[in-house]
Amino acid sequence: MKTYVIRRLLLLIPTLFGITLIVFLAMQAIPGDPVEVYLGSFYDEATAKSIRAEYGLDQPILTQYVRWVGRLVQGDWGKEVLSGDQVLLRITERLWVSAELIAGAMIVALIIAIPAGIVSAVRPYTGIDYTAMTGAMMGVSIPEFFGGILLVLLFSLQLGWLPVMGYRPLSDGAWEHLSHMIMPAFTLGFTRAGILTRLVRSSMLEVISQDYIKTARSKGISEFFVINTHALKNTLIPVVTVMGLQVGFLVGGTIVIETVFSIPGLGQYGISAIASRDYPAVMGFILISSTVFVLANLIVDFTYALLDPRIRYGS
Amino acid sequence: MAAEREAPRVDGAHTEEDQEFEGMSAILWRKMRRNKSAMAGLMIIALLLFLAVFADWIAPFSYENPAGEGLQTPSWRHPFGTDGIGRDMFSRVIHGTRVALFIGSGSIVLAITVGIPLGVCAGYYGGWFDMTVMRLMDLFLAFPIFLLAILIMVILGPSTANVVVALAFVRIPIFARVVRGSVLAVKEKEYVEGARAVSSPDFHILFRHILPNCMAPIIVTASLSIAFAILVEASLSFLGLGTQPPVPSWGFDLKQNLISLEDTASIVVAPGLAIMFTVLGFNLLGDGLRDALDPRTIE
Repeated sequence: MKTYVIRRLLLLIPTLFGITLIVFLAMQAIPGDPVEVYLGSFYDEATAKSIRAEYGLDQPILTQYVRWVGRLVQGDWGKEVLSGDQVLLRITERLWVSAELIAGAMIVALIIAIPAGIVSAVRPYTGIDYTAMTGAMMGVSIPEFFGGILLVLLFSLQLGWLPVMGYRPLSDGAWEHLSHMIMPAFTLGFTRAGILTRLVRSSMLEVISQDYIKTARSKGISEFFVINTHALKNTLIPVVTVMGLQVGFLVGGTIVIETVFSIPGLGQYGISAIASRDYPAVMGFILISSTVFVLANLIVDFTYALLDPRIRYGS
Repeated sequence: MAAEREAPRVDGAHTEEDQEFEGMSAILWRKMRRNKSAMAGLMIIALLLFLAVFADWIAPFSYENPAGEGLQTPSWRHPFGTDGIGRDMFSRVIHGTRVALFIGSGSIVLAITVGIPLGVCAGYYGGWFDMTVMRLMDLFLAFPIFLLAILIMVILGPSTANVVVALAFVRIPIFARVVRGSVLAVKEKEYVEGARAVSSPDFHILFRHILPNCMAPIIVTASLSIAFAILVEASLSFLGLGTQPPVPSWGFDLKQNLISLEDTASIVVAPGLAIMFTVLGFNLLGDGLRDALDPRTIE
């Protein structure tokens, strides 16, 4: 296990480097001179030259990249163009809001997917299976923002149970906070539950046809126990492996959902940075989001290795 | 209906002994017909194609110009109501099928055109080419896919054509991977060895012997990718990073009309349902195709 962890951690370095390289090149590829945009009508050759020198924009591109990565590692992610605030500071403030949303969505997805997947695998090709699979198909096909809007229509505008949008920090009280988070988390979770339900079902179907399940049954263990202890453990292995991928979709999903519900998370930060062409902020947003995705995948791989010894000792 | 009449002819053209010589498309069709999910998906897609082709005749009003007062609730004249500036929402949703299908299929055609040759060559030749291409693909897959699409839209700027490019780009690594995987499996088969033994040129082996036998996963991935592309296009346009007005994009309309949700919910719900219905169609088809093409499925 130790060598596996070390090898995976070492592999992290080129991946993170690759990400910075792509983000850097992408920003270079944006048409237009940033200094010209920044100065606007105040543009003149002398000022532009001094600004280029100040920010190192007159250096060769490779030097610029190396310096930029150096600053990133030291925690200097640049300043927002409009406010002059440190990008890293603003991002970490907002990261927690998005992280809570993602964690909530993940919990919702698992709470729906595991029971629904088990039940439809245990009673395949019955009404309950078809209902679960239709629900899963809907979850896969509904755009996140539309799902959120339907919930708002029902629970906020029709029933008046939950606030339409907005965000309250935890310091405003637990219910105030949660009532604003329930719908966004549920919306995101439901779309993910679609894929997971189908996965749990097919994985469970495969597991319960195996010999060790027959053995357990023939020992007279109750069906409930056979399914929920013997079979469930192995059923969840493929579910864990796709979790990392799901985090990727959730990171993308928060961007849309935070816009729908006006939640001041990372996604909303990124979208407003793009709208105002605040490139240091855009770079920070993309860097942090993809790093979260890469780290989530790493944690998933470790969990997978813990669950399945074949991975640890494999090549 | 026409397709159903055609089918027996395909079956009838072959006797049981030469069934193994049945063409790829004939096998596909025979298996697909028995799959409810695939047929449901196919029917939805046929309906959408019909709406897209005949949008000019079906839509009662222009999608660009106001057809009456703004923010009308549904009526016989305007089944989905009218938007803030009085455009008929029904007409915009009908015309939106064109946009969605164009972006969905256009981006996948582009992704396939680049992704398949990359995957085929990586899988067949191996070595440094394989190594370089696949590491590069891995790097792009290290980004959450929606984020990568956003990044490309930031570089290219919002427009319909750029959405097609961005959605194609994020899908290339997936096609390259799928194709490479099946090429690796197929290239060890005896018939490929046979072709090599009679010194067929590489090009011939690749496109005549290997690629046709990798079609099943490509077809399934393509169908699911169209669903995905339409979903992502809707999200990009919803965020204002995708198609620009007056293009009748469902995602853009939904966002635009969101402020009127309380008064006229229909102008928000209608484009939303249109997205969902379209994505559902391609997902059903993709799922059905996967079951139908899976050799493990017992006939």
